[in-house]
Parts: sequence; C-alpha cells; structure tokens
Amino acid sequence: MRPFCVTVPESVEEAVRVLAKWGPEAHVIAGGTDLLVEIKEDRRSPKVLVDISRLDELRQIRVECGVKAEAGAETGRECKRTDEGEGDVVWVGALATHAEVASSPVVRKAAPLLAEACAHVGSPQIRGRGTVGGNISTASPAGDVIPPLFALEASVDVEGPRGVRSVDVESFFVGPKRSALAPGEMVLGVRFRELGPNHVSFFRKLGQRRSLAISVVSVAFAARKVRPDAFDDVRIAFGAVAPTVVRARTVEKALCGKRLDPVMARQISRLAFRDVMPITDIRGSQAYRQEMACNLLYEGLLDLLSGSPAAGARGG
Amino acid sequence: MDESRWVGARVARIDAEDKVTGRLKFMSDLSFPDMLWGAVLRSAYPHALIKKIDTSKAEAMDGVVAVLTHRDVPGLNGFGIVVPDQPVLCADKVRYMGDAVALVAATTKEGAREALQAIDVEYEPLPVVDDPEEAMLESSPRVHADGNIHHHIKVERGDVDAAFRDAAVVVENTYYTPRQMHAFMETESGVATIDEDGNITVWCGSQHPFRDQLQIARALGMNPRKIQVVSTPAGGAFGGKDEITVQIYLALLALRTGRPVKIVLSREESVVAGMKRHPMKIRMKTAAAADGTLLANEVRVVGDTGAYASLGGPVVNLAIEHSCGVYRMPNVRLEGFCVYTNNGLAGAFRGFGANQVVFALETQIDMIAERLGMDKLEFRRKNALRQGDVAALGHTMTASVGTIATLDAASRCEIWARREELKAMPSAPHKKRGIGIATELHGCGLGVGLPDYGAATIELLPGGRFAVGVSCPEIGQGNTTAFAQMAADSLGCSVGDIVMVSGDSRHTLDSGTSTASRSVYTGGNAIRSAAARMREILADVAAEALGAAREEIAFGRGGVEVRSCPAGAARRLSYREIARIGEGKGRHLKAEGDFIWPVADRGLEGYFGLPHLIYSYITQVALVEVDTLTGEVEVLRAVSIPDPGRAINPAGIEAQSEGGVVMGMGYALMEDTVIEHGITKTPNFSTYIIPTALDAPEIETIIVEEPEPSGPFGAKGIGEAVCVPITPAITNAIHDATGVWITHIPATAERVYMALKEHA
Repeated sequence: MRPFCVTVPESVEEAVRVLAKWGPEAHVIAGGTDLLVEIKEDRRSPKVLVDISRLDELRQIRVECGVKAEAGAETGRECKRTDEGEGDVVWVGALATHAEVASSPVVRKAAPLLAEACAHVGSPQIRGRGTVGGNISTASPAGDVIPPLFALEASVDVEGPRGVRSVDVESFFVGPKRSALAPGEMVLGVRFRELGPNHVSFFRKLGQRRSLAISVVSVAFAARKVRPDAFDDVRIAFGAVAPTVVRARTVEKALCGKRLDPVMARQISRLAFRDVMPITDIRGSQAYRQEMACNLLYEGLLDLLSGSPAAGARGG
Repeated sequence: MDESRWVGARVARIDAEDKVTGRLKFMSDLSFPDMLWGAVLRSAYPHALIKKIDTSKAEAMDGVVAVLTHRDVPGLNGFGIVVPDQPVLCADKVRYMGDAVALVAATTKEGAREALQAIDVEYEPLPVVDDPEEAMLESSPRVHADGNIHHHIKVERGDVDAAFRDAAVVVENTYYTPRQMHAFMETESGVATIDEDGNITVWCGSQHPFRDQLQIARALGMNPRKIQVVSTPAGGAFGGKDEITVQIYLALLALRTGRPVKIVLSREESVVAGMKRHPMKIRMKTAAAADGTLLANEVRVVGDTGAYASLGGPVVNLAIEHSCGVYRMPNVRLEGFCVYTNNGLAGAFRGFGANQVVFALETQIDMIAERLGMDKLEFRRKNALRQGDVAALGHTMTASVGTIATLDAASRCEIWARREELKAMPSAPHKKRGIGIATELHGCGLGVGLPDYGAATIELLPGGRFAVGVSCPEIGQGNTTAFAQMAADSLGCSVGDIVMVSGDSRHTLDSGTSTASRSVYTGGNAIRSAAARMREILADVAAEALGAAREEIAFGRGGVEVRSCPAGAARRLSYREIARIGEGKGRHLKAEGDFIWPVADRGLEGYFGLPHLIYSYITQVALVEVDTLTGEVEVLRAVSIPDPGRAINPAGIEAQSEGGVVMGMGYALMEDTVIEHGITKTPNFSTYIIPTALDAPEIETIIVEEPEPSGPFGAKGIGEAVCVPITPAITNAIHDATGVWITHIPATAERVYMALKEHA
C-alpha cells in the first residue's frame, strides 16, 4: 500500500474540480468497501482520494413526481410506459448505502427488486458502509445493485468537467470493472420510473454461502402481470454471467404474453442460455453458471406463479 | 469435601470478560519500546533452485536494521516436530510458495515490506510436483533428495481376500477430501524481546511452548534455558499452530538486532505459508455378511503433505487407525502413504487424519446398510465395538466405550425419531430433505510409543488464592476454565480462588501440547496429583500451627479444620490464614504433580502413536434441504451427541460441539484451499469460503457420559471428535434427500448439482 492524500470536498463542483485536476491519480471514495481492498493489495495506488462522504445531497432517496428525468436531456429518454400512465420517477443518490436502500419505503414500494438486491450485498457491516454509487462505479459484472437497475431501465446521472449528463444504465457498463465514466466524472445517482401497480419483480442471487457472498449468478426480473399466469413488459437482467450485467432479451420476448405453467416456465427459462456467456472462475464453472442463470429465473417464476411473495436470494 | 461442586457445573469461562471487552491482549496486540517490525521474504516459485541471494539493496534502505538469510542461522537451519526437514531460511532450494528465503527487520511495517522487494533472489525453476499419486512414481521430480514418499504404513489382520470372497455385500469407492484451512482469527504472529544478558522471550500463540523452546534453541544454537516461550493466549489454533510458525524468525531477528521485533502475517501470507489439513485420496472396499455383520475393510490412503513432513506421518498413521471407525472389523488390509509435493504444507488439524477416513467409512456403512435394507442406526449399533472387544488394529478396547450410548441417544433425538415426517415437509416443491447419521471414536493423547506426560504446579498465594500452572496453552478451547474447575474441587475452594497460569515455559512445567484431545485429561490428572501433594503441605502447616496431629486435619470449604474439634471452635484455618503462616515462616507453599498416560496393550511396531487406549465417542445427526435447481445444501438442524466421559463444564462442551459442527459442515460443503501448479488460488476469505453465522444450523448438543476411570473426574478429551462425523452425517443426508452419494467433498452447490444431473 502506498501513501495517499485525502481531500474532503464541500460540493460536487469542488469534487469534480479535484478529480479533473489529478486525472487518473485521483479516485473517489465513499464507503471504501471495494477501493480500500484494492489499495491494500496494491491493485490501485491513487495519490489522492476524494472523499465525497460529506456531500449530503447525494445521500437522498426521493420521488420526483410525474416529471421526466431532468438530467436525461442528453438522451432525451422518456420514462413513459406504454399504457400505464406516468409513474413517478425515483432518484437514489450515489451515497445512499445498501442498508438505506434496502429499508427505504420509497424503494421498497417503487422497486422492491432493488431493495431486495441491496439487502443481499455482503454483510451488515458492508451494507452499512457500501453505497449504490460505489457498486455502480466499481462496475463488477457481479455487482448486486446493477441487475435490478437494468430491469428498471434506470439511468445513471454523472457529473464531470463538462457538466451533468445522464447515461442509460445499459450503456454505462463497458466491460468488467470498466464504465463509461470519463476522466474527472463521478456518479451522482440513479433514477428510474417506479414499477406500476400491476408489476411484479424479484431479485435472486446464488452465492457460495448465505452472507458475505459474491454472486455466482444473479437475476433481476420485472414484469407486468396481465393474468395470474402471464406477463408483459418483461425485463430481465443477469449478473456474473457475461463481461457486464446483461439483459436477457431472448427470454423477455419469449415470456411476453405467454400463459405459463411450470413446464412452460421451465422451457422459457432455459432460453436464458442464449443471453449469457459466462466464464469459469474460482466461484463456478462456465457450464454451471449457464444452467444456474436458467434455474434461478425458473425458481423465481415458480414463486410468482405459486403466488408466494417474490422471494429473493436468502441471506443477510 | 464436596468433590464436584464446580466440576459438572456450567461455569462461565474465566477468560470471557477479558475477551468480550477486548481487554485481553493477544500476542499480536503486544508492543514494546523501540520495537522493530519483521517481515518474511517468501519464495517466488513453488519449486526452484536458489542460485544467488543479494540483500545489499535492502540493507542500504532507510529504516532497515537487519536483513537475514540462511547464512545468519547460527544453529540447525531446520525445524519440524518429527524430522526437521523444513529450512528456517532456504539456502539452495525452495519447495513451496510459502518457503522463507530471507527476513527483514525495519523501523516500520511498511518499510520492512518494501525492503523485501529490494532483495534480489535468482532462481532456477524446477518442474512442479503437484499430484501426490504421480509424486510417488520413481520417475517424478524429487521434492526431497530421499524421494517423495515420506512415510508408508501397512497393517494387515485376518484373511481379507477370503472375507471378500464370502461376503454378501462388497462396496468399493474412491473418496477425495479437501485441503481445509484452520482459519483461526489470529494469523501466525508474535513478538520477540531480548534482555541485556541475551535472554530471549518469544511471545507467540502456539500449542506447545516447551517444544517451541527446543526448536528455537536448536536453530539458534543456544541453551534453551536462555529462551522463554509464552504461548497463551492464542487467537485460535486448531492444530495450525502446533508446528513452529514465526517463532524462530522472531528470535533470530531479536538476537541480531538486540531489539524487540514483531511479525504479524497478513491473511494472504498465512494462507500461502501456513499449515492445512491433508487432502487425501481414499480407496475403500468394505464387506458385510447377509445378516449385516461387517467382515472386512481394505483401505488405501494417499495423503498430500506438501513440501515438508511436520506431522504428516502421524496424521496418516491416525487415518489408518480411524479407518475402521467404531466397528468390529475382523479382517483388514490398511495401507497409507504420506507424500511430498509442492502443494503448500499439511500437518496437524483438529481430527488429525480421522476426518478424511471417517467421511469415507461412514459413507460405505450407509451404502452397505442400504444394500441390505437395514436401518442405518441399527446397522451401526449391531457392528459397534463394545468394551472388551478387539479393535481393527488388534488391541483390546479396555477403556470406556460410548458408541452404544451415543447411538441410543441419537435414536431418541427429534430429527431422527421424526425423520420421515420432517422429510415430507420441504420448504418448496423443488427442494428435498434428508436426514443423515454418522459416528466415530477418536483417539485421545499421543498413543503407543510416544510417551505422553503432563505436569502441574499449585502454589498458595499470599491472599489465600491458588496459582495453578499447566503449560497446555489456552487456544480458545476453554481448557483453563476446566482446569480451574478441577483445581477448585481438588482443593476445596471456589473457581474464583484459582489463578490459572498457562502456556509459559518459564512459569509452568511441561504438560505437553494443547492437541490430540489431551489437555483436559492430562492437565486434570496432573492437577489432581499436585493438589494431593498441596493438601499434604497445607495439612502439615495447619497441624503445626494448630498443635494437632496430621491425621486430624480435615479439608473443608476454603480451609482446614481439626476433625475432633467441636464445630465452631477456633480450630479452623482458612487458606488465607495458612498462607500468612507460611509466609511468616518463610515457607514457599508450592506443590508439583505429574501424570503419565496409560497405553494400549499392544503397539504396532514401527508406527509411533498407534494405537490409542482411550477414545472419545460421538454420534452426530443432520437434517438438510437440497435445492435441486441449484445444488445448494442447507443444513437445517444438527444434533451432536458427544461422550466426553464426564463433562467438566457442560457449557464448554456445548461450545466445542457447536464450533465443531460448523467446522465439519464447512469441510462437508464449502472449504478447500485450491492450489494449482503450486499456486494458491484462494488466498483470502473472499475466495476461501467458510460458513458464516447465517449458514450455521440450529445445533442441539446432547452430552452422554460414559466415565473413564483413568480420567480426572472421569473425563476424556472431546476437542477433535466434535468436528468429525458431522461431515458424513451431512453427506449421508444429501443422499437420503436425493439418492446421490457424495464421494468428493466439499459438496459445493455445483458438485451437488452436477451429481444430481448425472444421477437423473
């Protein structure tokens, strides 16, 4: 570990200024649950840590009633869903901790799958320190916060020397541990349209144990229930089975509008193998991960069909 | 005197308050004025020749006080409990990634680590030997000059071939077990100090201060009396601190610099350099008659001991001894190999060779029972050794035998008695439940051929309390509390009146290791012996002071009285008063006691440590739920039924039992130090997976007492057995749930899933 300086900016503008000045030698730190490990192991040796933990405006979780994503001007993306009217937009600040998101009434109502995912990150200690912005910025394909954001079709607000921009979440992740953040940019937060009253969702995670587990495979699912056994507006994302989190568009299409029984659910879940491209590592083989992507989705669908509450991964 | 006022009571651990408040200082917490930080340069290759070591750049660095290599080892450049084949600092060859090549002492921890990088070592890489079976071939590269087979054991009794010929059922399988890590909370760490006369004190958590003292002395070429070793407290050990860890490095650096030196291994360094459980490949062929009588067992064990011997030979010996478990087995052919490779180090680990073979055997037993359509518990009961039976190695089971009692208790426990009902209620349709059972016996002490001995001291302190010294270190198992309880009852005082002195080579007598399920039995017997002598001394002093005859002195609570004297008369002396009288007369009121272990009626020539006379017994039952879509196994409930002879402290037994169940569960389902081509792939706790509190099942401990007449208050050891049969109980439960036999542990979700797929 090399010595480093810590600077504690009072505003986002100041943070961005410092980041721009030091370029790759600077690194944002919030909870530090990923970064400090990398520094300790000499995988990163920043000279300046920009501690943004005092920027309280980034800690907020709020509802932005019926408005378009204001920072979404660049993409001009409308959050409107086809036939359901305009739901509220929810903004989760980058400094919101996993524990705060997991217990936030706003998130639990608007996007239960995101609350569920945050409830299964690491351990109570890690959830108390680690932040949503950190999980996104680290850009691990196994980051548990990310698949729900894909399923929510969220956008990521970032600020840099050239101002604020909003990046569609799928475009934000470029590769393993690589994001679209330009030099000098930092994540401000994420925004997404709340799920409608007829929407159901789940997040499931397969780890090597029930806590302090890095996902071997994870899946996030959101869809509108049009009948007890059929969905549309299906959005599915998988974690840890490709260089980035990926949407499962083959499965989404196949599921849309189909009447499901367990056999059909199984068959369609198996299509997930077309959407994922896992590798073998110390946590699991490529073949196992591929099958688990299918089976986690299937387990989740079975729960939805049986009417039991959308159970996520076990753990804590 | 009330002989068991404290023994058998749920006494709070005497170290509990200091531990939960954080007041207790472990050795890695100690600091001394002017202290330096030490660091160890480890090998860059799993197998290589050293061509040159140049330390000049490191020596020139600011803050670096000393850089040591093999040239600076004054005595024998080697250590090892059985054979000193591990270099203190490698001279011409490295044999694993954890091999130490040089030491640095510097004024800061960071400075010491940076200096390591400035040491220039030129290597010539050699082919890596990483498969134990291949290592045994004559054509394989040699890890050591004498060849890669460090130890070979072969035991044959009866007519195995005839038994297989006549048997109704024969099952034969190959089992694989993982390289489990001790995963103690405190890594190998400590401090050495040196005084102006050159006397060295090594403060380092370990399992046998007196042997450490001798090993350090041998490497330093120094009179052992000039070296003090303080081993208590250790932040966990489990066998992983039985061998020398950093003690010699600390002593060498203190000797060279004349200053205190501290070394704390990082977790990653500990994983790479430290001891592990032997991975074993076990071929087992077991036969039974149609009526369910076991007839024969043929076993071949190959254990991967890694680069150096340490206790690898004895571990394989004990694997052979435990490979027929609790059963009458008239015909056996048992063979074990302990093999050198470049895969890390393997040595002592709670269970000491039994975990591997009991997993294999208890799976075989379930298979045979199933083939014969017999109840698995009844099958075990039918074949279990009783007192007076001849065991597989040919010795007679003369000591207490608890198998039947623990099986009886298992048959009554809820998850066994209601197993069909519990099985029928999985939490989801795609999940399946099963119940498994397994049992074992576990040798206590060092066995035949290794004289096992212990000693204790008792001293009456000025305030009337007793200092009780037993060197077997407190490694977290709670032995000091048990010692205090036994001492209190032996002296007729309260636990609060006992001050335990533990794990210190200067202030205690040698009572041997805190290993081998031996310390409570050994230390307790030594305390009983010392207490008897102490009472004689106290009676002498009291008789003289009270003007009574020695025979008239009786011991009561907290003191003595004259027997014939009417109650209430002033002819009673408290221990505090006796202490004052002794002090007045300049008499040092101190007694020593000792104890030598009894041994089995028959040894095995050439195989030290075999067999044992005294065994602890345990049966464990597990209820699991298997997710057939992911292969995940959840252990819902576990019942642990140990026979400790006599529970000195039932709360202590429960703590051991619960910790053991979780450790054995980690072995069954998760834990493996993966080494590929000599390189560790799981160097920390994000890749080496151990169970967390959320993974632990609900654990019930039912203590069954079959008193051991030779034990203190009837006690025998329990520290190891508690983590052994739970492993096959879980894998047998997986079979009960799914029909799949697990022969390769850990049964990770992926392994179970793939096995289910193959089975379907």
